[in-house]
Amino acid sequence: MKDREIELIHKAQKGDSFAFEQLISSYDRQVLSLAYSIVGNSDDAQDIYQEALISAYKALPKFRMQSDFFTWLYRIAVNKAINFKRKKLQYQVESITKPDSDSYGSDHDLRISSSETPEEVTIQKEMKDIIEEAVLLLSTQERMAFVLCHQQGYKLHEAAELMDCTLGTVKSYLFRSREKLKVHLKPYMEN
Amino acid sequence: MSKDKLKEEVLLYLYGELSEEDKLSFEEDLAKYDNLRKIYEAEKKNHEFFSLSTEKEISDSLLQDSRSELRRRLKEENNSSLTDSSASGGLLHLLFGSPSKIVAALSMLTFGILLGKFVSIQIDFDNSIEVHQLTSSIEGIISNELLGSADMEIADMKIIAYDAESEEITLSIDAVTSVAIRGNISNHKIQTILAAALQSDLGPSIRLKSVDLLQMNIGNIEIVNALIYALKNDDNPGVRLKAVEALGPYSDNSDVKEALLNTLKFDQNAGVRIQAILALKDNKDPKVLEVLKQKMESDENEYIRDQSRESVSDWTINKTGREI
Repeated sequence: MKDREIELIHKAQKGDSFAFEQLISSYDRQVLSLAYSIVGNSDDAQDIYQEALISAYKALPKFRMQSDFFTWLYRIAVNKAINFKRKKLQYQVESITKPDSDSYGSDHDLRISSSETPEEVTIQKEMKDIIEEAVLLLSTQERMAFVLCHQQGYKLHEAAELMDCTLGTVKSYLFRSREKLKVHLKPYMEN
Repeated sequence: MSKDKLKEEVLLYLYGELSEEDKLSFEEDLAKYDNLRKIYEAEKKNHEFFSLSTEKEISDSLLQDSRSELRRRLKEENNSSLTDSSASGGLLHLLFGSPSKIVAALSMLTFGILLGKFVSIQIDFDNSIEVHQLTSSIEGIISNELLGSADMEIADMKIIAYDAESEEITLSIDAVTSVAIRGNISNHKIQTILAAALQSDLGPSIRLKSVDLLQMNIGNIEIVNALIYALKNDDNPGVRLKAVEALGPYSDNSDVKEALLNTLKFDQNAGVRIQAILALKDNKDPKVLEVLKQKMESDENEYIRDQSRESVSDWTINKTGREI
């Protein structure tokens, strides 16, 4: 951990919320992004973001610097996202409507190669939306495993640590998520 | 190998989970076996298709909104720990009635916590138990009955000396116990404890309560010094803010003035600087004027610049009888 980060942790542990804000400023975009990937809409993503970071602030006095701060923070966010979905499911049938696209970064399409034609870009954008809708049909754990390992590039053992389960369990969530996605996306994949 | 096992191997390969050795072996098998290659080609195609969906990119405006909301909630969180005193004050009012009794009860509580934390005693077991040493100046508060009672927890113990012939032993014990003390807020010992709490790391809420209580009756220079210490060193802006409020009426004192000026010049928190300027604005010392002139030009906070300008303007009018 960097000296500056350690200093900010010490200050935040003593109740300095400004230091806490500085501390998380390098990481909170990723927390919000993870939340968004799991719930598919900005309102719920913001709720998870708030819940996770407030919990982290409250729990920070117990943080003993024995693990990486980001891993600690991200683990809280992962758990909040999983529990948020669980709570939500108790009260309502999940909406599988298209995720709201206004909140995506304006440059998210820039990753599509500039050599592609506008038609190809449009098709890829549509496919991306369709896959995201299909991802929202997975169970929360399958979705989390898919987002962490497939979209965010975490290794299986890292995802297991973040999700607080065994490596074998994450592996089966991930593989099952792929099988389900294949079923949901079969018509598009064949074309 | 079963089809499922082969598929698992393929997926582990695609996710980069195989060791270097296993990877090479897998690639050799891939070149050799058609069935494996078929599975691999199919899964690779799926993999690429799924990869069209990437990690969500969050817009700056959504992030900024989230951060603003978080700031508000963190403030609420901090305030709720600060207002614990208000909430408990309501309860105490019901229990004790008058504000002075509440103050006395709060003092007692704080004193108890501090004493529990810091008391270090040395006991000489002879015919009786005797308290030799206390780390603070509150000798005589611990009764002999307390020693060895179920309410006292021994945190550490050292055998200082043991004479086998006489069978006399001297022990040093770090004891943790809760002790209550009742007294008026102006009591020197109570104020000393509160001042010690102010300079401790017991937590911002305890330090805030201590400043609040001390503010009611600043009885001596030790308290002023403790408040100055808090103003200069406390990490928590809430504590520093309260310290400025408490010291404000004493801004004619040169040490206090110096501390307030330093706060106005260097404190990172605009709220604390605003409180410092309010405490100093009527002070007609040229040193103050000099700092105010700097602040009216350079402070990043608009309110501080305005207040400095206003104070400088008032100062010059009063001094010369006409506006410059």
